[in-house]
Amino acid sequence: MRVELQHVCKSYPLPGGGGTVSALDGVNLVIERGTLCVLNGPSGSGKTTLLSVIGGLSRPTSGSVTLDDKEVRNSSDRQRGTVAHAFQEAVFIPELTVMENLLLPALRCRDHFPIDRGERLLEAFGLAEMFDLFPAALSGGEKRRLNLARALFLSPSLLLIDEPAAYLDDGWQRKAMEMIIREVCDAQATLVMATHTPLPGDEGFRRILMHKGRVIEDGSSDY
Amino acid sequence: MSERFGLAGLALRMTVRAPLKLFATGFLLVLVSFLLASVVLLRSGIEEATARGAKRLGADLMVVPRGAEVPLGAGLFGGVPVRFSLPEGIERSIVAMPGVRQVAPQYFLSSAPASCCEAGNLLLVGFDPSRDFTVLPWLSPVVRLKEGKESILVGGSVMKAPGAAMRFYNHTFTVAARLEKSGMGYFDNAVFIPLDGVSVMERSSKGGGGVSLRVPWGYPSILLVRLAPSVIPQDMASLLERQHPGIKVLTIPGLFRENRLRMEKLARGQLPLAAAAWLFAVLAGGALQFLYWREHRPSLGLLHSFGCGKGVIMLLFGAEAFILSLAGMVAGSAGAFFVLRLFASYFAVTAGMPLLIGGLDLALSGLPWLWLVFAGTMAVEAVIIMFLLLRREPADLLRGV
Repeated sequence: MRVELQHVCKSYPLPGGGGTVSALDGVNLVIERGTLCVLNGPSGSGKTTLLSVIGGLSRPTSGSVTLDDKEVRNSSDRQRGTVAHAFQEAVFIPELTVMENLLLPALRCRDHFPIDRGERLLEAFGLAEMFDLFPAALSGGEKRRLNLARALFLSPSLLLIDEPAAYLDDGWQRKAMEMIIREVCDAQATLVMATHTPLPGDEGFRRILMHKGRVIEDGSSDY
Repeated sequence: MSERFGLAGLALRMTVRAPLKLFATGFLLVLVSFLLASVVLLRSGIEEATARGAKRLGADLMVVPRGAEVPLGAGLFGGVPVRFSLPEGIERSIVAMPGVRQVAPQYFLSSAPASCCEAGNLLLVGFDPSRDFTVLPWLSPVVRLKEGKESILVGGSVMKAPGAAMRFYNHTFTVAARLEKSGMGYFDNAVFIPLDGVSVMERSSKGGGGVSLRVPWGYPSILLVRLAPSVIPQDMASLLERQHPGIKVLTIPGLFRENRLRMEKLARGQLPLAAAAWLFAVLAGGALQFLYWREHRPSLGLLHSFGCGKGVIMLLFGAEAFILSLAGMVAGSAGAFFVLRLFASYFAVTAGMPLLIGGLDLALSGLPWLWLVFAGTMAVEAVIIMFLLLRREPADLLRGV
């Protein structure tokens, strides 16, 4: 999936109505289909906001965001379903089991409900024994792995991952990155990851450095 | 539950697996629907009993002693034992009146709370089978009082099956039949004894050291009067009252008029209560739903991020609220029905009004509109709550902002 941002600004009102704070400030960016991309930058630089805006979870204050040349705000619900998110804080529906939470992206896909793929993903992320537990019973690392597995579940065209290494030990960081890269490459999907720390296996990724809501550097990773 | 699920399956899971929300909402709905259904059932029960009672009396006029209207109400509507007698010669005089077709005298007695009687404080009605048009016509054609002095009829609420023995004033009777329930205490709680049987019972009471019964023969408690079709009941009532100052002549609609007025007063009192209950349910139910979903904003953001549009989410949880409310209403209404049915006699006696809670199908026939309106209100409310919550961006919802 091709991603294009033109003059994208996003500002939030300050609590108490005292003006606004700018999270994105005139971002111009083109990410071609099949690109593996890392957003770097310190906390508060606008990485998470940029992911939200690309994924249609947050509307830009000005500018345009297009996915495969279609405005995100005009895309159909089903098209939005082809964009997968792995959020910084793992969000689950507490009343659903691990397996049911994993299957959530397929909620609106009546003709495509690959339960066996869900089982394989749970196994690959070390959650096979926990498929009928509720999220409250999982540790931070397990929730993170479930979050990543869910994002991969429907082989999305665009995968947006916020802090993929958070809560994972070194072994799982490496393993998770391997799986993500393999899945994305197999599906010829576009990957955008936001992180403020180097990731194992991201050598050769396109690296976009952000600071105070602006893209200040755009090139290849040279860790 | 199957691992494969759609939006409806998701809503079902989120409902049944949130026991606190389910219990709190369910309890509220059941409570309120119990109140609302009670109001509807009471009104329809009183109306039904009044209509059925008036039809079953089968008379145009009821003659009672002047001043006996209050105890008469307790006897007729509550089935409470009452005793009063008409002045001497009234029966003969009315029978002789032109335009009077039939007169049925009845003696109101009561059983004694002593060992001589099966049960104390029962209303015993002595009637003349040869002139009766109030009791016997309503029996099944195959049931006929046997010749002799042993047969009695019992009201629908008296727990005695045909063939059972009942003992009053040292005399044992056999229950010939049980009347169908009417909702009027007079028909439901009383025991109807032919005058021959009353006479025998009176004689039996004198021996054996029990409580002695004295029947005021020739001074019946009431006279039920049927008129020729050409006679206007109201005119005849006025004429009889003028001729006999010691009596009160009630037309059957007049007998129930006061009842209707009381019912309307009761209904007027119930309506604000029902409206308050309704408002409480809508506000409290809405507050519960709002607080729950406000706490679960990330779940809504998650659904949105997986391609569920706002309209779909609003429809989904509107439908959930509708089904939950409908289930709560049915449960509450069924509860109200069973409680009212169980305590109908008690309510009737306490309120001094006829009350008939019929079969489940009949009693609940007036309720579906109530269920639909209520569940619809709750569904609209849920949609509004969702609309308010979904005004925020999915990213904000996910962060719980």
